Amino acid sequence: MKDNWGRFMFFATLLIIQIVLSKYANVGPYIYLCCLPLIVIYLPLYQETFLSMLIAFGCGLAVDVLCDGIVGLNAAASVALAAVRKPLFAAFFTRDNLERAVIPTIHETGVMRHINYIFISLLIYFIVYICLDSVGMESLQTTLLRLVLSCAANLVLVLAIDYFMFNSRR
Amino acid sequence: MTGRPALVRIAINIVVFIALEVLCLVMIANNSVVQRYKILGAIREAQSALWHRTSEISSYFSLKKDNRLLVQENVDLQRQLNMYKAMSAKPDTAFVHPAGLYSYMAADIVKSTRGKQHNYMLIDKGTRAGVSEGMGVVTANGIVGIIDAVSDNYSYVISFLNTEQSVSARLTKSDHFGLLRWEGVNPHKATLTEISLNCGAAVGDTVATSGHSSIFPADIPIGVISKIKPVSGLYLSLEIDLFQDFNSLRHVYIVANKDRKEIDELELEEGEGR
Repeated sequence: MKDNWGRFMFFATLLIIQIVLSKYANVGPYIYLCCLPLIVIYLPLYQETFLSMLIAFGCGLAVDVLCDGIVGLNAAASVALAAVRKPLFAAFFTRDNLERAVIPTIHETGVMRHINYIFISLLIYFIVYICLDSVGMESLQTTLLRLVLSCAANLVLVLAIDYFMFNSRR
Repeated sequence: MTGRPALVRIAINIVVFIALEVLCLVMIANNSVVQRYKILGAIREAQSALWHRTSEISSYFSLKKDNRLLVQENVDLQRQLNMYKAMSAKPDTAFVHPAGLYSYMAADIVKSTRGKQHNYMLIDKGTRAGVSEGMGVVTANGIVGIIDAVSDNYSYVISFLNTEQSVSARLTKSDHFGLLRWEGVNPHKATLTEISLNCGAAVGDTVATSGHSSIFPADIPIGVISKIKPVSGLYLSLEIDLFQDFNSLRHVYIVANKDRKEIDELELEEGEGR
């Protein structure tokens, strides 16, 4: 019960950080700072995929509505990430990792593998997000630049949150 | 949940994923004009591609029906052509049979042999369709055979690829006529015999039915001359390349001479008189 409450608080905090980032952290047209992928990545691995997708959809929709963005954009990207989350984790980590890592944090999985896993997850998230956001309006170079910069910036953000939140909890 | 088979779980995940993504796309389309324009454009493109495929599939399945219609149309055209031929052949006659001397009926081959000396085929029309013994069987590419026996729904046809079958044929250039017979070797070749030496036949000339029998109408093209050979200094034997490919034969026309009964009776009377 206590564990569930702590998890809820963690996700609620991430959601608030996301809303604050969306409303106040304007870092230019090429970078979209976003910790929503982290919420999806940190959903417990024993969770059924369809349930993860529903939670991701709810969180994404909440961010879309509360941040005055295009409704459905973050939700679509979150659902896509939730759908591939488990196979992606299985591709990067061993079965032992999969069984032990209730929440796949950097401490559970190891630094380099974790960074790769997070980067690919972010890449999937931003491919969906940026493609739906630009829908053929931007040139390929601009889209790629947005993708690379957003992935890089968010990788730093996610690792920072990951480190501070879980390190402090330990 | 963990007890569910993996396939069911995958199916549930796919359904939920598609449903949620579609829901997201609907929301995006409703909230942004540009996205709506692009998404609807993509949907319309997918729709038209799907419709195109669907129409292709449905037209494939209606081929049999179309084929039947085409065959019927062919019969009608053949009938009309026959009528015009009769009219042009007898321009000074006061009366021309309204539908020509011959009538045509489409039929499908149900069974046939090709590799024997005495080949036959079964067609799916019998006495109920008005077929009787002695009627001819043709296609636009030539003669096929003669009906030998008839049941209610089927007819037994002695194929032209039968060494005992011969047909009266003529050279279209000179109107010389002779007997066309299959030699029993090559299903694409036949021999036209009893052609006089002075007929002026040349390789490549066309051979057609002569119309000198009550079975086949005149001028059905049969083939072209491929080899000319004199026989005993009096006649020519012509090797004919047949137009009709018996290996790919499926649809045929039964041809009926409307005055055949009258002709047969007259022939019988004349035979008895002598």
